[in-house]
Amino acid sequence: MMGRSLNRLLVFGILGLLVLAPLATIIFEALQPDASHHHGMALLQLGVDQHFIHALLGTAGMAALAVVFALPIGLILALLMFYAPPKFSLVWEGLILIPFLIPPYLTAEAWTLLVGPVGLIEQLIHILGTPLETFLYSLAGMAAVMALHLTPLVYIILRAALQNGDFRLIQAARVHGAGLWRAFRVGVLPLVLPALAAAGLLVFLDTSAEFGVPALLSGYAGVTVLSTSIEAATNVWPVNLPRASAIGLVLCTLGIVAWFFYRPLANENRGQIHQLRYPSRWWSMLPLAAFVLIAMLLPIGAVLAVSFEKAITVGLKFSNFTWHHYHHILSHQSSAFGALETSLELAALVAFGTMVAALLTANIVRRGGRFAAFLDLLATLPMAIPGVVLAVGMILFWNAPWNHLPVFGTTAILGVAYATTTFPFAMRYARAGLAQIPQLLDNASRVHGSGPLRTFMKVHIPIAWPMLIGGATVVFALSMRELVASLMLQPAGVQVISTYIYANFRQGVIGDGMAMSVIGVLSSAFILGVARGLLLRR
Amino acid sequence: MVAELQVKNRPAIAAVPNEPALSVRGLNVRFGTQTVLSNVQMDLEDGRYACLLGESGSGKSTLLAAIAGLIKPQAGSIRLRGQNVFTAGGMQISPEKRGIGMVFQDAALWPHLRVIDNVLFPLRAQGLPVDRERAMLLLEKMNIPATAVKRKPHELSGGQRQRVAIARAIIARPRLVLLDEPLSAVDQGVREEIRYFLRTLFREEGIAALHVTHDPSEAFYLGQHVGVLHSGHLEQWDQPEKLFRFPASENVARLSGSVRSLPVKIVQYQGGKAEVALANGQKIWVPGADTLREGKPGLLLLRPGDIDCDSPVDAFAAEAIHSHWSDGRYLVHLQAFGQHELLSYSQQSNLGPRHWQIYPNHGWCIPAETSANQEKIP
Repeated sequence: MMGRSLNRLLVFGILGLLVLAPLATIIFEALQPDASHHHGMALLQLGVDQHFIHALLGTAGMAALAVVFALPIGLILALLMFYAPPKFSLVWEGLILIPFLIPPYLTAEAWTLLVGPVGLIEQLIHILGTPLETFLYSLAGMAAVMALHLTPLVYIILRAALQNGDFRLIQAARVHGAGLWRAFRVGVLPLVLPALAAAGLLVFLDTSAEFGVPALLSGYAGVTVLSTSIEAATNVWPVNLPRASAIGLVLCTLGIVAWFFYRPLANENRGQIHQLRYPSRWWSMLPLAAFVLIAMLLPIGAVLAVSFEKAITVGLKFSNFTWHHYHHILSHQSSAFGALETSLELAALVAFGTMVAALLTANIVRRGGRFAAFLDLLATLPMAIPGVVLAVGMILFWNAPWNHLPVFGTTAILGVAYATTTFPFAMRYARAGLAQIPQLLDNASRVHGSGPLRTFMKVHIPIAWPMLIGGATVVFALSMRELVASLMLQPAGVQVISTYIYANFRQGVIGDGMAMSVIGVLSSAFILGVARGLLLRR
Repeated sequence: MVAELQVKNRPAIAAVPNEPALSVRGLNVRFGTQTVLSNVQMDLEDGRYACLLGESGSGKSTLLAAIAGLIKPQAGSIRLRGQNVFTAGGMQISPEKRGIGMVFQDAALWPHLRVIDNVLFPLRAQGLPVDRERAMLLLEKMNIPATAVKRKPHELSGGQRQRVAIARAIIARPRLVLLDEPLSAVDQGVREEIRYFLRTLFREEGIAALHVTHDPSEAFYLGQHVGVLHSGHLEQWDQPEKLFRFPASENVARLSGSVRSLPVKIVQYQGGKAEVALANGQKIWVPGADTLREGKPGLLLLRPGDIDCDSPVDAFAAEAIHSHWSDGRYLVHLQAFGQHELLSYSQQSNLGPRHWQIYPNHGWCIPAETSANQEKIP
């Protein structure tokens, strides 16, 4: 009983520090006078702030367009992969998912390189170059980049919905006289609609919270969005933290509303794993290949090409080939190597720490009850809070005059930020891991002499182990690519991979940034591969 | 003298000689407003194998969970080897400190542990010496090949997994093992094999067992003592033959084998026998419960083996409405006295008019409104 209380206290303390404290300080700060007006609460000032209204419309427009782009593409991919899978469908599925693993700011950078005046598309298909460049630097272009990044997510959700469907419903409809479309409408659509709504909300949520893509493209597009406005209020003189908090609160509310609609829709798994395999069709490869080309091959190709080029203006020529950028990144004295080291160390520590905390939380949530429901809400809330808002909250909380904990201004603040943003993912894996353990196995352990702690260590953790490693992998990968909180919180003299790439791109030192992208992806893939291999070898 | 289990990590539960392995008194369990167990009383002697019959939802598994300490009852007491493990006053010993073994319906082997580690788990968890030889011997007795002991549970067949679960339950020599429908998830052939293992192993080891099942043949094959749980009430707890021949209620009769009942009126009761008036007014003498009262209605319980429908010519008339081949003879459904159905074994399958009579000293009469026959749970 004592151990359980301690566990609850510890978990509540962790989530309180990670989630509640920054949120509370944001709300408090948003109710303070706006720094530039000196009268009236910052939150109320937003009502008459034209810049804010534009930013709000920009965010809503970008997110809505991303939904419009991502949903049909994701649906087509899911339907094709399910009802007309191409040969080697597992390989295709892997290829479809890769764009989600590429940080969106990198996709945006890659596409600016592709359609720019000296870009590959401009060089190869001159007529397409300029229109594509105009499109990219627009609200729709920003939304399209986000859609490329998020379409795999839509695909996963819709594919799962199709997979959970009961094929006998379609068979029953067909046997009783329904045509193909009618059978689809009766047997499939009711399952797919909630999933479509869920996917749409998730795309809206992720796009409205995105910082990297608008930070790179919105300046040229003449569009402002909330996330970049918040960052500007904390970063550009005169710093206006109440305004940043107030805008953050609005963005946060937008996210939380979307999230509350999303949550009930996301639990549609009925556990009916579809065993029927449809025959493969060669033609389904064509649309899939088009998506893979646009969302993955071209951006990755651009990143790789630029990372090996002496000068991007010269283009793809052997005389333009160089190892210089890689050599620079990997030389021990360079700031790039420091950034790489910092990212790897932080990501590894956060992966371990966050998974432990998530496991403790999931263990309480599993038991049910009101406190468990509150903890669950707290643990998943960062999903709805944009990184930029969390970063503002962390500045306010950890840099408050009364807070003497040595966190702000040190690398530890980045760890805290990563742990907060990745907690919902860690939690999802920890919960899934524990959910695999039937109550019967607990009972068997208790009856045969194990106390709760021994049961947790000897039964729960070993059975949930693959899921825990899976969760740690995701936390590691997300921490490696986190941009906005890193930009806003990194202490002087410290850089991580994402901020290094971003800064280099902004300064026009593109080759080094691209080489860092390649090394970052490869090194984390290598470390994760080795770690997973060792940890899952049982 | 008090014998103590050698347990490192928990206070030893003292075993008091001559005390039952299990003693349950006045046990009540409620889930919310629903009463699941009501006033359950039972004793199980050391080394005896007992079976508890009941339908789905009758409270069988809840009773085992309460004895194991997996749920906390609202009232009553549970004693293991003379020691209280639950009292209504608030005492509730946790499951791991009760020193019992348990076999679950679907084996519940830990999937990440090898077969041998699953079996040794209770010894390790209870801080007992890790006796690999005994584990191997038990597995050998359970017909688990030596090559399988290092395998993971998913590499075994369903029957093998259940046998490993039985070995795990008795490895630490508990005084009591609870078995929660351990054979319901295995095929018929495997079921008979495991029944045999259970009977021989528990007798050899001298371990008391409480085995719940809904299959009367399983209960009578294994049980030295058999009980029937219905709607949360333990309606009878008795020797197998008594439970079958002299059921305390219609539910007990029904759950312990095929039976049909005829409404009768009690004319008189003498020395364990009752003279009853049948629906057609005829009177016969049949064995009956001592709770029968003259002039009151009764139920005459008749099993297929109580009725002869092959030889009589001057007995009661009936109509054979259905017959099917069953265990080397026909089981005939008879319609007697209008709407009342009876069952009888017969050498002939023909339908139509038949005559029947009750074998001497067969049948069992109980009061029509025994407390056990009434629904007691709100």
